[in-house]
Amino acid sequence: MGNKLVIFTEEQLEAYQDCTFFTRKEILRVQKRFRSICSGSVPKSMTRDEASTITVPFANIEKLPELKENPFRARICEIFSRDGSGNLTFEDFLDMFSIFSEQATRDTKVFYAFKIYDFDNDNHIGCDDICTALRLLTHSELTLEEMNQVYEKAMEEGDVDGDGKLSFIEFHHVILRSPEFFSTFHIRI
Amino acid sequence: MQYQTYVSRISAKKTVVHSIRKKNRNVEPVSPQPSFDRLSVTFAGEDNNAKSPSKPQDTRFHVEPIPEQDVNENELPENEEDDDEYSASVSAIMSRSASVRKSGRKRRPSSPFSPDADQNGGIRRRSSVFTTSSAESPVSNVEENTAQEMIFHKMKIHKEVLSQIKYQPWPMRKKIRLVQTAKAYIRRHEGALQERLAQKKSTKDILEHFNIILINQWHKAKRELANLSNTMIPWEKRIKEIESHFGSVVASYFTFLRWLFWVNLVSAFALVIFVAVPEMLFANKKNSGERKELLDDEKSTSTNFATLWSFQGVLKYSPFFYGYYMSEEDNGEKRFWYRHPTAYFVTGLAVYIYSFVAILRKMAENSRQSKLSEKEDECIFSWKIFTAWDYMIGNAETAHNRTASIILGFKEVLLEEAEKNREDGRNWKMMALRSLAHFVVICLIVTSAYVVVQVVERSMEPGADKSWLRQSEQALVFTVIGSVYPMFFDAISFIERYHPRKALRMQLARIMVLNLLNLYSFILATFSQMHKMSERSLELKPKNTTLRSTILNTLTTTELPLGKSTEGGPTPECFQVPVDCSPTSSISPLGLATLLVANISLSANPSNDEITREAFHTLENSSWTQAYNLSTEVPFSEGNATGSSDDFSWADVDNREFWDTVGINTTEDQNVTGVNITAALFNYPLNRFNSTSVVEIDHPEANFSSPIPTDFRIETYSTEPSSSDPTTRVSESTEEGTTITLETSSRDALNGANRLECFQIRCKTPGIDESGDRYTTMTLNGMLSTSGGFTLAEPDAPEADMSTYTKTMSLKTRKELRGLCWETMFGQELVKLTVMDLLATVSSILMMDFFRALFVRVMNHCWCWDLEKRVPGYGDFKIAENILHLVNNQGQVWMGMFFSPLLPLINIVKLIVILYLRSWAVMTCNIPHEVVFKASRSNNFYLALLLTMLFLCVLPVSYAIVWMRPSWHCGPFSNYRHIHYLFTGTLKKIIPKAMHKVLDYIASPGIVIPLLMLLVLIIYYLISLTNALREANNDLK
Repeated sequence: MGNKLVIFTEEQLEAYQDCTFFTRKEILRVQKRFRSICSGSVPKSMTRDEASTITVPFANIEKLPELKENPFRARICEIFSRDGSGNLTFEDFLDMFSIFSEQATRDTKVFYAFKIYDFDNDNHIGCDDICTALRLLTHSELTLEEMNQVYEKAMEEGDVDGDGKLSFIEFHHVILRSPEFFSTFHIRI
Repeated sequence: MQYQTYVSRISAKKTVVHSIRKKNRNVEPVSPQPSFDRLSVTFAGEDNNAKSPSKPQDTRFHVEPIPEQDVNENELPENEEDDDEYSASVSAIMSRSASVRKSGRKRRPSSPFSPDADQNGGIRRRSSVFTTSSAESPVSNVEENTAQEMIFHKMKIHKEVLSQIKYQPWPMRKKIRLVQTAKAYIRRHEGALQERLAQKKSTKDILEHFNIILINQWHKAKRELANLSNTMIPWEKRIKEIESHFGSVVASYFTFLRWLFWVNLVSAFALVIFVAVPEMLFANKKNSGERKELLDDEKSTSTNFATLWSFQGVLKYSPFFYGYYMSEEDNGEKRFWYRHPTAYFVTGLAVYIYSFVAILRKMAENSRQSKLSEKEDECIFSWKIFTAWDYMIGNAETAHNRTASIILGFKEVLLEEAEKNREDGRNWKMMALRSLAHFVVICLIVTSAYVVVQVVERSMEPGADKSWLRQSEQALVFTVIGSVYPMFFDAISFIERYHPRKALRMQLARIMVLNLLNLYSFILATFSQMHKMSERSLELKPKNTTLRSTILNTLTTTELPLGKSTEGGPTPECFQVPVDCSPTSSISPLGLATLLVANISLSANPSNDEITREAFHTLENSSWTQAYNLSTEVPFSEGNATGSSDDFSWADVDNREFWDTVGINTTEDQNVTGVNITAALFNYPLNRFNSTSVVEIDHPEANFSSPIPTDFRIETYSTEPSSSDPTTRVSESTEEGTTITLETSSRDALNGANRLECFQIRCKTPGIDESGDRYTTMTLNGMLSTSGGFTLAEPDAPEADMSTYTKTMSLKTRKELRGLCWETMFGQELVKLTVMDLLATVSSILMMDFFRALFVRVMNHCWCWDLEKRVPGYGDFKIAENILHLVNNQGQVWMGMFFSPLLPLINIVKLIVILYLRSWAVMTCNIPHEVVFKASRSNNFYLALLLTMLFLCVLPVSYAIVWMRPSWHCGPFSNYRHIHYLFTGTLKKIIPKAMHKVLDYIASPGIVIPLLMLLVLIIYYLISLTNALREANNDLK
């Protein structure tokens, strides 16, 4: 194997390791995955600023088996893309999987979960956000009435100040008590 | 000046984050210095505050221009906004880490009083400012020092940034930029620092230098180690793959399996290292008795498949089973420091304790992780919205099922919410159906118990091991029940129409009951068999066998015309006379016959009274019973030399009772001087008799509910011949009345080698022969071999080990004996069950999953209906059954482990096979279950099942340890009356004599019952405390 390719410089790798919850090996694996999505446009070596400039369109990322079935995939990519379009550079991509990795702390996870469910970006999870989430989750199988009922119940449970929407703190409070969240909010790559 | 702006921003931000008080203090114009200095000082001070006890002089460097230069030097091409961002980010990180420190580890001694500490910090900070301003003329040397320290501090900040950055919820680009900035700074300054250090040779600097390198290395090593440990977890990838396809429930089965694998690995490791290996290396094969070697005619079939299949032959005499291990005595003269029986016992115990601890620890860990999971329906709607989706799912089918289950879940909770308002939604039809289901289930369970009992009984019948089918019938029935009944239960639960989760629990509980019931009927049956074997092997124990056969022989061969003497007339007096085994002395003079009128005693081995009793039963049944129904007036002289009458009174008390149970009449004369002693069998060392005419009389132990307590005495009766010729002297004394003295024989003399004794039973029947001679003597010649005496001063002291004497026995007896090692039998049964179960699992996976899937896939093209969607369809992974299968299997392993030390090793292999096969089958031929339910809670449920199982499986083992008498011819405890005596005996040896009473008292009901009461009270108290706390918790909510 004479043509050993330098995928990242040592510095880059160090930096990525510092910024994510990944080990060196995992970073390289993520890179491989990233390249496999759209091998045409992504070079093998990313020693310069390819990692932060070359983007892969959402349409391709969506096809990843890890995301393909996820009802929130569009929203997840939106969050992690720089411009909110859902197109990701390698760094964004890495960041995404770092957050979803098992090593990530729960505070970080909760923060991003809040961002994901806050569909209208108003820093609160309101009625519309919940209905959107429900629609995505159930493939619009619930009736409007049912969704309203669910919304009301959810507010009963989580809305402390009674303003009809969940702030981050309220969301955090609700999520922290959930036994499920930390076991399900993972994507393994 | 840019740096100053960062710093000022940082400090400003920090103070906002921290507390208003601090902010006030910072802004207060107390310092005479220019504002930027003050701010920078504050920053440094803050840093001190966060890191370590502050050093006031540290702050001085801020008046110097060095930092600015440095920062300017490594300035990255960034614009103003980035700088802003950077400083803000740094401050956020710092505040975070500072707050983490405060709340977390108590590094600073003052941290418990955090407000005070802050205040102190503030004051200190302020004072430091003053010192800075007042000491305005620093010496250059000091300056340099302080400059270095300043760099240190900033580097610390930057390092903090580096280590904390990954926890920040910022976009990647920002993080990378931050990291680059921080790193550049560190690199530069580390270089500078090192250079400076290189110039200065003071020890402290060298130390610092060294420290830097060390820390770097340490971080690198830590990272590598983390990488390594991640890759070291076995089957992680496989399990994760399954998890991504089948959701977390199915994966939980595999993680549970893996955890069990670890537990078994540790157990097997301990058992192999401490039990099996030393035994194989150091045991002395010569003295092994029936333990290690095959008989010659067994050798031919010992490696046949049929033999190996039932774990007979070579495998039976391998370290797999209890019978292979040697007892302590067998190590012979060169007592090795390693005591095998002790090791066996202690390791077995330790492994059980380890199993308990491992389960409890795992449970505690799980419940810590899901501490609040018990409040399941607290925020059910929010959770369903936000956490219902399992992000792991990457499989379309699983995703579809998950979506379906989420929809179902929502509908369910909405329904339940509606149900809450109107309470009675039950109708009688459903009720009837459900009670019918319960009834059917109970019937099923009862039939299964019946079948198991029948099978076990059948297996104990003679000829049970005639054919292969009969041999493994038991295991087969178990397996069939284990695999067929759950299907019935499944069908029944379909009728019941419970909520799926409830249905699962019902299913789990029912299968568990089924398993336990089967297991327990198996245990009971096996134990009764074990008891039988134990009794039978005791019958074959050397001493008693020979005794019995001798008596029978003598009685049948010698024809004693005692028939008429039984009726009413004068009773014949019979007694046993020891004779020298040399042929000449077997015809003994009459004088000896009369000698031992008084020395009639009973030989009752204290440990197996039944046998002796049986021996007497035989006597009774024979026509000679009355011949032994003797009444000998023993004339005791009251004031005789050593107070014999007092000491002799025992014979009266307990012999009488014994005779009553045997059914031989004792005479009514109960006074002390005239004692009626019946029967005449006794053991004594021949040599002693010869030399000093000592006759030992074995005292029957107080075991047969006689009032004689505790101490078993061995008394030696010696006639007191003062003359040189004992025979004549004694014969004289017989006529006048024998003087009897008692002396205690030394224990060691008895506790030894096999002895052969010859004796004669002589009966004199007065009245039959009225002619000149007063006594007609009939002689029965016999031989009595005793092997060792019994010197049970204490019940838990080891007896003489007789297992090596089996070689002297006939081949037939030996063969029978070899089959009577009940411990090995128990181990064999469980090993058989385990292996059989593995085969059944493998075949059921192949049949139910693989071939079915193959059939469905291939035949679907040419079939009249859709095979994939309708009957038979693909198999799904039955989580409940599989989990219970594991639990059940583990229970069997725990039960058999004590008597088959290498069973965990077999189980490891089994678990690995199951893991690979299952995971392969799941991935290739199963489809995800329709209801994907949660895994998080049920995990502890599995462990609770396992704990119950462990507890129930330890019970029979502890029963065997405490109550059963270990086989005398095999295993490490062959010379103990109960296995646990090894423990108590050793304990008593260690503890000084004076403490024995205390120990006894502690172990007596007088202490144990109050202790139990106390424990119950404590538990009650704790439960009520928990309830109170829970209530308080609810109130607070």
